Amino acid sequence: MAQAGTIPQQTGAPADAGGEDGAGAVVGRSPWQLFWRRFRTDKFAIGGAIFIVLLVLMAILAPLISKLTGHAQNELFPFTGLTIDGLPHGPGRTFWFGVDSQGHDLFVRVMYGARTSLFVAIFATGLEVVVGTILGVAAGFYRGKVDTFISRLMDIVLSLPVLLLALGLVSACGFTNNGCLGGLIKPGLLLVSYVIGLFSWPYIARIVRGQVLSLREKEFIEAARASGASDFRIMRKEVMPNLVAPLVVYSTLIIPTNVLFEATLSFLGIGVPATTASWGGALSDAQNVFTYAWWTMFFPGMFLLATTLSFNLVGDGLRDALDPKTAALSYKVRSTRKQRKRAQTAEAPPPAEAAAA
Amino acid sequence: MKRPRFVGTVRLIAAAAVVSIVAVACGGTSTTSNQPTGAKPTKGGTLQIATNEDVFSHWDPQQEYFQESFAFYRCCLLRTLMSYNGEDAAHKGTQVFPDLASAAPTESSDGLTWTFHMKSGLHYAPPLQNVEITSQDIVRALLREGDPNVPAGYPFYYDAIAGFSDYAAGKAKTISGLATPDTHTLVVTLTSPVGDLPYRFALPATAPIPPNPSNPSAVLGVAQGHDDNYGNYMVSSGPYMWEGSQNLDFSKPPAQQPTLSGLQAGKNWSFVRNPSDTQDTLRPAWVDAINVQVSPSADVTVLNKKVTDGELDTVFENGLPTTTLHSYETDSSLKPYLHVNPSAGNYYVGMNLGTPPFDDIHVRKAVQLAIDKAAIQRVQGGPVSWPVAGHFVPDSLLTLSNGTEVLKGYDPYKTPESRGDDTSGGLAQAQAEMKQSKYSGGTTMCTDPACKNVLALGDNSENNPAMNSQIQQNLAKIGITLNLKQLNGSAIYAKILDPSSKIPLMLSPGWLMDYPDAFTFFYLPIEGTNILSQGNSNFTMIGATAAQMSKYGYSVTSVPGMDDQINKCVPLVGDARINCWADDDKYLMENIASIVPLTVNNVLNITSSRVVNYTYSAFDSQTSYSNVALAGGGSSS
Repeated sequence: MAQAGTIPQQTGAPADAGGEDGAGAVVGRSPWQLFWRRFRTDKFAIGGAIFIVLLVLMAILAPLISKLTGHAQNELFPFTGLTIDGLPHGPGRTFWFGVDSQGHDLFVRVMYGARTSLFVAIFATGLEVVVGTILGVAAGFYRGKVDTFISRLMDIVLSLPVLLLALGLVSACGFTNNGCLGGLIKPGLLLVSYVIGLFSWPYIARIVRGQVLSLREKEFIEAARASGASDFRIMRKEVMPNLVAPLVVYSTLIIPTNVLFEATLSFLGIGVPATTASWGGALSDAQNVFTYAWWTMFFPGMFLLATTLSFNLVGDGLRDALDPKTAALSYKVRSTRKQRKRAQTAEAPPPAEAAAA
Repeated sequence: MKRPRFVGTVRLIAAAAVVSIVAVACGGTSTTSNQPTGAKPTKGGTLQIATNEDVFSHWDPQQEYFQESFAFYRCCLLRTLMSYNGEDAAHKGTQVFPDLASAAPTESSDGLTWTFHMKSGLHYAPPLQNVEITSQDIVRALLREGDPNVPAGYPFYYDAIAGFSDYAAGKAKTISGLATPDTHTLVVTLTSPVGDLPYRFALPATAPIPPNPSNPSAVLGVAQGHDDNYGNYMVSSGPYMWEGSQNLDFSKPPAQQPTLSGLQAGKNWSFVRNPSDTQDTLRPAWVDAINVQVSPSADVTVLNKKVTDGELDTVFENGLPTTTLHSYETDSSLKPYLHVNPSAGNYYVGMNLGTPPFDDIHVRKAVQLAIDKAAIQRVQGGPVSWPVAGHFVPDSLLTLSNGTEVLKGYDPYKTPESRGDDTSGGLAQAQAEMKQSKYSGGTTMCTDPACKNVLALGDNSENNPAMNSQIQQNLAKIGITLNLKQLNGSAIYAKILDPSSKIPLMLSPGWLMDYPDAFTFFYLPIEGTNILSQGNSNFTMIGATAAQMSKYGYSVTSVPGMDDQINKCVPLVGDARINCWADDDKYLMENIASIVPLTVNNVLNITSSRVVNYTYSAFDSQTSYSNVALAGGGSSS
């Protein structure tokens, strides 16, 4: 029976009640339990989640890690870290990941780089989701002229050359300490996050608009409207709760894109300032020396890869766990495989009998 | 002249240390041959070069003011009344010799009249192979240099010629101080004595412009009607010409004339032998042709790899990527093809006198003491690449006739091991200086808000970010925090060439001599009268007047200058002139201190195994393309 107000359970999905052996009393589970039960079976998603937790710890503990090594984030080691002709030393006891082309401790820079990536992941994505959700809900709910206007706005924003605009913003606002618009636009990690968030919201907005277009035709929306609820109340109380699941899923899937975008901007020199550690910036610095100093590209590249992969895996896992259709499909597939295996095991004679035979 | 884009790492190549072929950074012996003994030059072949630096003014000889174009003009395309032999300093490469002139000019006793006599029988490249080069052609070049409609590169060098300023201002139709009593004599009358006039007539802007046989009355000859793009129609007078030169057709209206096929802007430059070139004792011109691949966005490391692999013969550049240098230093089979030579150029940190806190001399001196030049040397490739400099003008330009370098070892801001405030002694020195500043509040740190988040521009290529970070770290120790912006060289120059941009700190500018006289290090970068609204090379605003400071939006209206000291040296000659320039350099360092010299660079090049008779041109600070040859005349290619 469907549980009201949450993810409706589709018919045809194998009943979870009674366990897999089909015997025993029916146990009702909350939506969270259902979600967790599905999510934890996805080992890749769990792996990704574990890495993300480690990433968060890395970001939080970066200053402590820096203290342990005795090397500050922006401290240079031209004499202990570079050869006499300016080439960086490789991984060793003093510099665990080696030294980057500028003479920094690469291990410390990679740890601090996690902060940049997580900041972008959270702030830029959050901004993108907030703006996209507001505009997507408005477009889908009101339709008509509002929808037309917002949809055209999405088309325009999607058509903008984001990299060129980012270059222009940095160029225009990056050469005075006050930045632009009375200090509202200042170069740095915030500007990078604004650029990412404010140019990417149409992706979320389109998805939300589609969801809202579908939801607004549901009976519970009609019931709310008939009971005299205002549009704002309907959007807040009826529509938004049903958007949480897809928003969570798409947010985690968008995060890697945003992290890579920040890395790209930093790689091009228009991202975070040089004093802010960034994996993209590290890759950019590595360009000129990586044929000699492989570590300068390997470590930041691997962390960037692992981060984006982890968020993708978690996003996939969340989608499978939260979306009943795909969850049912994957669950049904897994269940079918287990049943087939049990059947094969049941058919095979016991080892003792086989040996005797 | 301005240094091209900060090619980075080893852009300023230091001599000494690693390679025994280079003696001293000040213009001592340099490598001249990279070939096994017994190799003998043979004429022939095509020299294959690559560059990732395009020229700035479309190869217009009256506009180009850039190291790269100067090098190719001198070696290959243009002859001038006086010129260089394309050798290093030890082989008189910094002296000028008669080129189109038959002998050195004569100077009147009052220094106001110079007379040049020209060789007879010299002709232009096709299609004007029947047109003889005459003294009027030199006048034509100077008329174009002063033409108000032509954005000339360095007309200021000819202001001393009587009537030039009036002509340039549109007040006269000719330059009264230039006379041609016959077709092979040029008499130059000056408004005031100028001791280095022969050098000024070795610059490419004075190269002859032929008359237009189809329009003899054209004042500017074949350049008439090509105010912005004469480079596409230039007729050569040197040992080489642009490929396709013979197809130029001056009988057509300027807009319809065909352009040089060998000049593919931004892509490829192709020079072939000029059959008309004769009586040229300065340029052996061994190779038959020179082909230059132009790749503005190319990775220098990749270009140099092509040299190692034999696809190219050399790369036009001032430095080598660190990885390439390392390979050539450590591989005995490659080392003979590594060439390290001193240049007469520097790189420095510039502090804008009009922007706080750098309007305070104690802050500037503290910065001088704070910067760890030894660490910068390390990140820029080590002593081979980057000898530490103690003063602004290269020692090679401050050398007396007896070989004495007047300011050898002079460094008024010397710190222990040249490590700035990265040693306790250096830090104490810097802090003691800062304590005297009005921005320190009596402490040893720059505490005023003007010291925080100071905008600084630095180059983002090669290992320059490491240098930028080092300077940032050093200045933080005396309380100056930077808002560091890293851009490519062109973008940096676009900002700092505009005085109204008010950039407080410049981490990448450099200066290279226009000709071997210290005047070229003072006239544009230091003299207040040369602060321009556009193309300003006096980045630190030395000698700016109150009116200029207000005009460009500065709140600081009084800055130090030294125009009088500079002008005092101009008419002098010989050792008196050298000593005068040395005094000016000391004054600049001790009394103005807005420039922190980091290095007087050496030039590092590699050549392929085909190249024999490697020669370094001290004037160009580059490989001497007119003097190198290919093994077997290129028959092995």
